[in-house]
Amino acid sequence: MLSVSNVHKAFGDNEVLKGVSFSVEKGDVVAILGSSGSGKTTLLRCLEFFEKADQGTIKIGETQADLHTASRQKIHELRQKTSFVFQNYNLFNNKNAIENVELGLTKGHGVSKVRAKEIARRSLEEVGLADRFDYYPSELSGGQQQRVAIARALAVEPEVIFFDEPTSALDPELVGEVLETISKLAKKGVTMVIVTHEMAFARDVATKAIYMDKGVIVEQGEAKELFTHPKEERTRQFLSRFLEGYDYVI
Amino acid sequence: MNVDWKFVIEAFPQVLAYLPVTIELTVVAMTISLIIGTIFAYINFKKVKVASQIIRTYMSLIRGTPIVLQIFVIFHFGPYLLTEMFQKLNIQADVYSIKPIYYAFLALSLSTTVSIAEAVRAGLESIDKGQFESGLSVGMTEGQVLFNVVFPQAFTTAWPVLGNILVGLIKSSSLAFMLSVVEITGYARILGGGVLRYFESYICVFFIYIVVIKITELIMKKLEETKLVYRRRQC
Amino acid sequence: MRTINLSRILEYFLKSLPNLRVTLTYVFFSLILGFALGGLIAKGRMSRNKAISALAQGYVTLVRSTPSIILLFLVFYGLSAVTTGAFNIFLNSLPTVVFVIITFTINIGASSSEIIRSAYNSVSKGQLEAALSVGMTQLQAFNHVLLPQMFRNSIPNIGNTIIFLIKEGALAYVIGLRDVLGQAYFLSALDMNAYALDMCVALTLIYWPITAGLEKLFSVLEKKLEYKHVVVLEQKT
Repeated sequence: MLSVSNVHKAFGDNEVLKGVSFSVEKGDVVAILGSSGSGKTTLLRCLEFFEKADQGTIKIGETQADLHTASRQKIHELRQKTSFVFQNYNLFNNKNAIENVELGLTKGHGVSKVRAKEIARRSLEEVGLADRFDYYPSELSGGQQQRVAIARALAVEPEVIFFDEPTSALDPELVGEVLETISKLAKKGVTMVIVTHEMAFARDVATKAIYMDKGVIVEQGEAKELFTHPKEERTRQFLSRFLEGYDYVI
Repeated sequence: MNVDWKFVIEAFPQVLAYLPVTIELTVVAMTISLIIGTIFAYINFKKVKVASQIIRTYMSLIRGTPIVLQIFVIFHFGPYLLTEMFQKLNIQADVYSIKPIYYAFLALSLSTTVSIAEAVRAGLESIDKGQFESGLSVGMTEGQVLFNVVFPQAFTTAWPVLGNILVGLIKSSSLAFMLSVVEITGYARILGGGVLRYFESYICVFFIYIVVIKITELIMKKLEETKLVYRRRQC
Repeated sequence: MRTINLSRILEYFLKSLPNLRVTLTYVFFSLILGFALGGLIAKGRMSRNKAISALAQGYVTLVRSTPSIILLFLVFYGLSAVTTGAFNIFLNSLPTVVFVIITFTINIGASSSEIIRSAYNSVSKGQLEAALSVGMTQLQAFNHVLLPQMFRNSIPNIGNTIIFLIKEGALAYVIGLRDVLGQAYFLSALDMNAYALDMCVALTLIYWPITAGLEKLFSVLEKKLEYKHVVVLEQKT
C-alpha cells in the first residue's frame, strides 16, 4: 500500500540516507529503530516532503511520485493521503483542541463544518480528551497536546500516519498515556509508521520492524522475529543495549 | 496671560467638525498599508530573490527620509506622474480634478506600509516552522496554512506594535494640510490665520488628538483582550 | 515636460548641505536637554509618591499623543501668547532654532523617559545590591555600576532618537527654520518651485546616506560595546 524505494539524502557533505527502501501493507504498524543520527527522522520527513530528498520514489495506493522532482500538486495530493505526528506536537497555537482537529478536515479535505465538528469530537473522545475540547494548546500538558495531535492526524482518515518520535519531548510520567493511545489505534488496524526509541513499546505493538544505522536499513522483518532472533550482528548489539533493562516488561 | 479661552471654546466645535476627515485619512491609509505591508512582509520573509531586494531598498529609502520630503515629492511629482500615465494609457481624465485627499492617502501610506511590513515580518519570524509543517501534514495547501494558522499568529504577536503604528498614523495625518487637505490641523490653521489666534485654535486640535488617541488605544487594548484569547491564557 | 537636471541637483545639494549645521544644532541640544528632562520624568514615574508619578505619567501620555507639528505650533505661537510685555519683545528676537529645540526637548523628554525606564529595568537588581554590599553609596553605585550598563543597553534607542530628530525636525520649515530641508525649500521657492523635483532628489541624497549611515553606525557600536574580554595587544616599540 505504501512503498518507498531508494531514498537518498545528503546535507552538504553529510550523507544521511544512502538508498532506503521498504514497503508497508494496510494495517501494518512499522517501527523504525536506530540510534540517533541513523537517519530515521530524516527519512520520515522526506516521505512527507518536509525535506527534499536527493533521489527516491514513494507510492501510496495508486499515487506515485519522485521524492526529488514531485510537483506541488503531487505533493499536496500525497499529503492528503498521509498525516504526521511531530516530536514537539506542533498544534496550531491559535486554535483550541477541537479547532485543531477540525481545520485539517474543513480546509485540507473539504469536509463540511458540521460534519468536521462531529468527526473532531469523536477523534478527541477516542484519545481520551472529551473534556478538553475548548482548551488551547498552551493550557494542555505535553501528553494531552500530543494526544490532540494524534486525534488531528487520525481525523483526516489517512492511509498511513507517520509518527516522528512522538514521546521524545515528553516528561517521563506522560509517556505512558501517549503510547497507550497509539496502541489503541494499532488494535483498530490503523496503518502507522513510527520512529521511536521506546523499544519495549515497539516490540509489543509493532507488526514490522526496521533497524537503521548510518543511513541504511540493516535489517527489516516481522517485529517478533527481529526482536527475538535478529539475523545481523549489528541489530543484535543494538537490541541488547536497549532491551536489557526491559526484559521484565511484557 | 494672553490666551483667549473664550475663543478656544467657540472654535472647538468648528475644528471638531473636521474630525471625520482625519479619521478618513487614518482608516484609508491604514487599510492600504496593512494590505501592501503584509505582502511586503511575506515577500521579505520568504526572501523572494529580486522582489525582496527592491522592497528592502524602498523600505530603507522611506525610513531614511523625512516624511515632509515624501510629501513634497508627492505634491510636486504626483500630478505630473499621473498625467504621463494617463497619456500613456489613453485615459481621458483631468489630473487636476483629483482631490488632494487622494494624494494624502498615498503620502501617509508610504511610510506606514514600511512600519507595518517590519512589524508583520517580525511576527512571521516568531512563528515556529512546525506550525507550517503540521498544517501541510493534514492536507492543507500553503495558502490555507498561511491564512488560517500563520497570519493570525503573526498579527497577534505584532498587535501592540500595530497599535503604535496606528497611533503614529493618526499623528502623521496632521501633515495632510501640506497637501491642502482640510482636516483638523488644516482647519485650525485656516481658522487661526483668519483672526491671528493660532495658539488658541491649535489648543483645540491638541485636545482632540489626545482624546482620539486615548480612545484608539483603549479599543486596541480591548480587541487584544477579547479577540486574541489564546495569548492571554498562555500567561 | 519636466526632467531631472543633474547640475541643478548638485546646486541644491551644495547650497543646502552647509545647513546641516542647523540640523545638528537642534539635534544636539534637543537630545541632551530631552534626555535630562527624560531622566527627571523617569525618576518621577518610579517615585513612591502617587501624585508625582501620576503627574509624570500624565506628561508622557499628553506629549506622546500630540503630533510634533502641533507641539511645534503650540510652542511657537504659545510662547508669545502666554507671556506679555517686554518679555515678548525678547521672545520675538529669538532665533527659530530655539523654538525647535524647546519643542523637541518636550517631545524627547517623554520618549526618553520610557527609554531610561526600560534601561533601568534591564539592569538586574542584583547589580545594585552587589554594589551596595561592597560599600558603595547609592550615588556611587548608580554612577559606576548602573549608568554604564543602562547606557549600553539603550544605545539602539539613542540611535533611533537621533535619526528621528534629524527627520522630524525638518517639519520646522513651516515656521521658517533653515535646516537642510528648510534651506532647500527656501531655494526652491525662489525658483517658484519650478525645479522642485531636483530639490527633492538633492534632499534624498543628503538625508538617506546620513540616516542609513547612522543606523549602521549604531548597530556596530552596540556590538562593539558588549561586555566581553578584549585582547589588548602589547605594543612593540
